[in-house]
Amino acid sequence: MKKILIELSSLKLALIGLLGLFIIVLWGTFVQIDLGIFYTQKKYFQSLVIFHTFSNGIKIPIFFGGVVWGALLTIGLMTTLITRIKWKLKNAGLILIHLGLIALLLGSFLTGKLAQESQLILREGETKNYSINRNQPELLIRLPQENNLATEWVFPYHLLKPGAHLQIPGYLDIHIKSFYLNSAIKRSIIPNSQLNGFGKHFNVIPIPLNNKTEGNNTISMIISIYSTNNTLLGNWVVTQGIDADQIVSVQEKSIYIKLRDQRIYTPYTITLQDFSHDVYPGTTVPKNFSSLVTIDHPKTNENRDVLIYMNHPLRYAGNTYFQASFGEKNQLSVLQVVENPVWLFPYFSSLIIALGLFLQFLISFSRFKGKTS
Amino acid sequence: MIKRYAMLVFILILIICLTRLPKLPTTPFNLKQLGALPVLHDGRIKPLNSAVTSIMMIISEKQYVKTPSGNKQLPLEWFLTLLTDPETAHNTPIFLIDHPQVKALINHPQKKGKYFSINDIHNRIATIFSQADYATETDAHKRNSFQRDIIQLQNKLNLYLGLQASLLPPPQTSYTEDLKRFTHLIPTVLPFLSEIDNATSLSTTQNQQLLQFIQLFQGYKSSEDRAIIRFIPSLDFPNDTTKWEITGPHILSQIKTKMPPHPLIISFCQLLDAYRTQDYNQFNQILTNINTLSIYGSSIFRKSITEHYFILANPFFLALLLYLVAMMLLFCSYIRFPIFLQQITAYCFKAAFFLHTIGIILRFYISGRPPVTNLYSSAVFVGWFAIVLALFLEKRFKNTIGILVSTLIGFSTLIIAHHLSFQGDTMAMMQAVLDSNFWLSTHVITVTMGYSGTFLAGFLAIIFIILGLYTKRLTPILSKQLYTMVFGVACFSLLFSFIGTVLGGIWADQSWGRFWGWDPKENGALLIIIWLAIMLHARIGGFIQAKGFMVMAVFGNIVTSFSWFGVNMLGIGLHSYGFMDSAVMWLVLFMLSQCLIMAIGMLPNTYWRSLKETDPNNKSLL
Repeated sequence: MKKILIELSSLKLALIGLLGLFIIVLWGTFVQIDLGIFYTQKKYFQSLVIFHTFSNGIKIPIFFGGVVWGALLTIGLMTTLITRIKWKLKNAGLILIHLGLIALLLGSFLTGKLAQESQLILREGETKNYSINRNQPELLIRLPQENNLATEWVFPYHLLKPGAHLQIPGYLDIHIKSFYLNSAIKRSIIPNSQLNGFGKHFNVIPIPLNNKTEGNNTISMIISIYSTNNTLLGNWVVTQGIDADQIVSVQEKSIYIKLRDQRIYTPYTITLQDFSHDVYPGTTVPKNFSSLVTIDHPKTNENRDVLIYMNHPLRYAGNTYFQASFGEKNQLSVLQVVENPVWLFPYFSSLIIALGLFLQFLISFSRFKGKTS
Repeated sequence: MIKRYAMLVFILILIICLTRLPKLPTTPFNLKQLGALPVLHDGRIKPLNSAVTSIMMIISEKQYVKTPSGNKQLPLEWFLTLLTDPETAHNTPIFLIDHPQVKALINHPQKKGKYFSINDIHNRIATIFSQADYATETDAHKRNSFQRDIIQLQNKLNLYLGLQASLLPPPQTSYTEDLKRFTHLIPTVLPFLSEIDNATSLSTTQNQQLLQFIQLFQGYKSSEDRAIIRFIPSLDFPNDTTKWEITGPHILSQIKTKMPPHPLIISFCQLLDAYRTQDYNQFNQILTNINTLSIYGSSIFRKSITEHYFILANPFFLALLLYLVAMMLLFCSYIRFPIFLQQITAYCFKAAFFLHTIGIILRFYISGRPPVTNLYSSAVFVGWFAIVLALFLEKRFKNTIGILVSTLIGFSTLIIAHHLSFQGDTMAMMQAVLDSNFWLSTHVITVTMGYSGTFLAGFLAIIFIILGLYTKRLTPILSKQLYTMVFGVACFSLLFSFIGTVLGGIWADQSWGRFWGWDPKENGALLIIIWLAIMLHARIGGFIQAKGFMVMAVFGNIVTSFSWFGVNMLGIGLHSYGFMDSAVMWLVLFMLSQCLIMAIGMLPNTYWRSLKETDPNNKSLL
């Protein structure tokens, strides 16, 4: 056991881990030109193994991914602290550096697992209590009103897989026939007889993933809908590309279906009062973007204005809102919403490391001074 | 005695270097004073000379043009010609076009040389603009060299036309006369305009007056959308850049305000008239009068004037020459006359470092920004800080290695900066997210200090390898000293690179909500940290000896240059044109040269002259 610990804490292992990390960071920098940042992260840094995919679809593993190198380094760091570094005051710097590094690596692993990003898109004057995530759309089914209450069923993204059966007891069975991660929507000349709704007039064609920017893909599905007694009501196309409800008639009642961007609700609302886009005089070079918003949170008796601008996000109730983009001739503001419960992790761990590095540098420097004078 | 002779030689060197500086032309017109006039360009107030020079640099990538009659014109002369004698200016080849396909597009595939006048390409302008608009639709990093160059040409044309429209339109009689007539016509013509429907009722004279008014109006109006330089500060709030105005629209605003023209506009009219008639006495007199205007007394204009003289004095260029001289003298001193030559070296080096420091301080005063805001200023600062570190080492070891490496780094970083300065305004405004003095002065500075450290370690290692392989100078004592230096600097650099990168993470978390996003610039900084950690662990673990440590330090140069420049160039192929593309070539050459040094550094001990001669069996250190 002790032998294994010593082996794991060896500098050789540390070097292998560092070299592995060096290689994937360098590699991951170059592939970003073609692959884009989002997919590079997934494929190189947040993976166990990096695969090469040939044009015929065959995948072969070629290198370990970031998770493996990170884990290797974390284990190495922990065992080093246990077996190698003597816990003495003169080693305080070294101990702090290695402790901080463990926290940093763990923190980045947790961030990858726990952080959730979404967008809050507001026109001036508009109020919302949810942000959206375009990457993970959800299937919305709105049932007819009963006792003046409309019921909505929402099937989240992870349930939407080809071949999946989704059930609404007493109403419908939904069978997902095809699922496209990205698709183009073209008007069809001859009506598609097998499809209902706007699938009759539009062709949905699967196209390769656009991996340049996140959220630029149009997810579409073809679904078959059965009534409870297993009679086929028809096939529908639901897509992110067309922002409209479709009607399915069941027992002379209308049911609305739609594939919409995932909604993440908050217990408070945000209203955009004003968006401004300042430029340097006489140029089109942007100087500042800012959104004046009102937070309304009845439960905590809060109703106040906040200005969100460059380098000054709004941190509220576990969410952080950043000025991300704008549109519609400066009438529309896009706020990036990040929910990251471990956002303070890197702050603390880097503080510990910096302190350790500084101590270590001081110790070495005094030794170096002593030696030479 | 030696000191006195050394001082004499140094003064001689200084005088020779001073004559190498680029100068304003010697004409009877006081262009120095004209160039100092503050104007608003690219969002900040700067001297006219800087504005015009940076525009000319973008259009022609040179600091002068040659008129068809063979006269060499500096930016200000060219600007005055463009305004007062457009015919000559339009025939002056100023547009740098060297892409063969772009040349073909403008119907000059066979023309020798790469400079074209606007008259050469006049009838193809519509094609250029439509092609450029088409190319703009392609993602910036997916454009090929033709698309990049055609967009660049469109920008050049816009700058040319914009500069021409920036002050006053070509006059009908004279600038002053036109302005006077326009001012007089306003009260006469305005009543006609309200009755424009029954124009028939106007008399012949009235019709002529109306026609004149409209012509002048159109002239002044034409500059509204195109002008790129604003000349007219507000009389009440001269420091408020948002209140600066374009000349033409300001003249037109008289129609509403009924105010007399701005005193500066009158002066500009007289100035241009004097230049048109080549009356330099009058020209210089008006300039003196302009400078006594009260609006030019405020602080913002003092900065602009300081900038003008800063650019004329060009301290970085002078420092560059002096570093070069110091380096060569130091080399010579290793062969002959060590004391005398090293004394001159010391003078040259001190002068160079003084100018380097003063330059950074002045830039800080003028721009009101921390020393590093863009690639250009990072080059200046990386060199400066590496020298500061090297001077600490020199103070401790007193072996002239610190001075040698300082001159080497000072020269090379300033030469990089010199070439980067051709890209345009080196004090340009910062775009939205970057507009934060707090982060610029913490994150950016510490990261840059980390670069300084890795380069210093790398260059010291190169000196170690060269001295050891080719000379007998690398004695056991010196090699021990050099090793200590490189090790210490590497530790320092790890500290600063780490703190800098973490501060960058905090900035990113503040502005985009993520501490780390694996984007190229972040990865570049991380690579430096990982590499330094690898170096230190390999040495502590005994996997490498001093020699191996030096070879790894040289590789640190490659990693740092990749992080500094390489990541900015990703996506630009090797086979293309323009500045950034030739920078790619230089970067690759630099990396190859470092590989070569690493290769020879790995030669076995028997090839090292220093080791062979002293003690071939001594493996204690190497």
